[in-house]
Amino acid sequence: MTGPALGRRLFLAGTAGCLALMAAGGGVPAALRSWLEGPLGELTPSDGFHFYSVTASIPRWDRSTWRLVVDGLVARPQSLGLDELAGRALTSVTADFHCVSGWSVPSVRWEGVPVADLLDASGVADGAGAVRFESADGAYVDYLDLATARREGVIIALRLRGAELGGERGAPARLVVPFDYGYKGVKWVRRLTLVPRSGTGYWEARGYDEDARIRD
Amino acid sequence: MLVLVLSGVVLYVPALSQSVGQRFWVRSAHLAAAAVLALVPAVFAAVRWPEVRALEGQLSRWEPADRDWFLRPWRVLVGDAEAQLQSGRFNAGQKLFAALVAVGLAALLLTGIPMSWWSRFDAAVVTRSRDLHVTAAYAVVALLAGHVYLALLSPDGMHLLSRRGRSTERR
Repeated sequence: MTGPALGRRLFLAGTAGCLALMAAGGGVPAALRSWLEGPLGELTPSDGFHFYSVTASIPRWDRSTWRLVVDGLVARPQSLGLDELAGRALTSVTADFHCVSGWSVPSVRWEGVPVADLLDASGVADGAGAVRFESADGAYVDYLDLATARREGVIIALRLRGAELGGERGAPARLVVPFDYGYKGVKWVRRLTLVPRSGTGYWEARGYDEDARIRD
Repeated sequence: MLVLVLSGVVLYVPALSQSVGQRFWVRSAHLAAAAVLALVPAVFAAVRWPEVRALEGQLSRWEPADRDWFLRPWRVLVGDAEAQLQSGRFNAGQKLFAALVAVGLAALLLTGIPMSWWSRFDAAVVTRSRDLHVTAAYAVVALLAGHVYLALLSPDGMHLLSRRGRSTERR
């Protein structure tokens, strides 16, 4: 027990180095990770998305019976089949996809029906203040206030990069909110309900912020 | 530790995320296991401080003999028992291993904080934390795999492998 405490110094230096890289490491941490992963390439599928689901399986759906329902505080509740929805004027939205857990997919191109168009077609009633988006997975739900839901770029997406949505990305339809973190983008969406005010979404009930706005 | 590795892999690898799903519960298991791994040594240190202090000293202090060990570290990789003879309680490789694993675990804990409480941190900090978290996880798993490999090559490990029970000659 006479030598210098090199182990302790190594520990303190390593920990300080980690903190420095976290705070101001620029692209070094990403380079370290991709260097270690090498040919595995972040172990992601080629489309760059990780897969997040809060239930055990991807909801099944049938093209002939699937409906998107718009109900709640509306004058004309809607029940739209997939062909009916896809036959409307589709809007294209290109945005970086950001997940709160630190990964992103650059320049993702979605195509779908603006939520504002669906709201106009349904005739939003007085007293409605928010839209509740419900997933067919039976667990996931999230809310947008009416003004946000009507913003440009907020769409019920049917297509991703020129092809129909895959099951793992929310087929046949998902919410896309290009200026919010990914957890607002309810996958496998089957129902939009106009409600008086925003409620608590799935992750918001588990500690996430109500405000999902991307902070750069 | 095993819970952390398994749940971490399920959270990170898309094919496994897809077959397991249940992200909230997998994430909760990962956080709970991390809390246990952080709290158990902390409680142990608080309760038995003198012993922990002594152990830290034995692992942390490097003696002249340790330098000789590092001059020919490859001998240990092929199971040369002579190379594993210890200058103190721990040989230099074990001391280096302890320091590196401690750095790795500290890095995992520190980087896990912005990942878990992402809304309190800049998005860029969360991203860098995630990259470092994955890097540190690879490093710690590789170190532990090396540790097990070398433990099996050691005289005690050899005896375990050959089912002749633990070596008693060196005790």
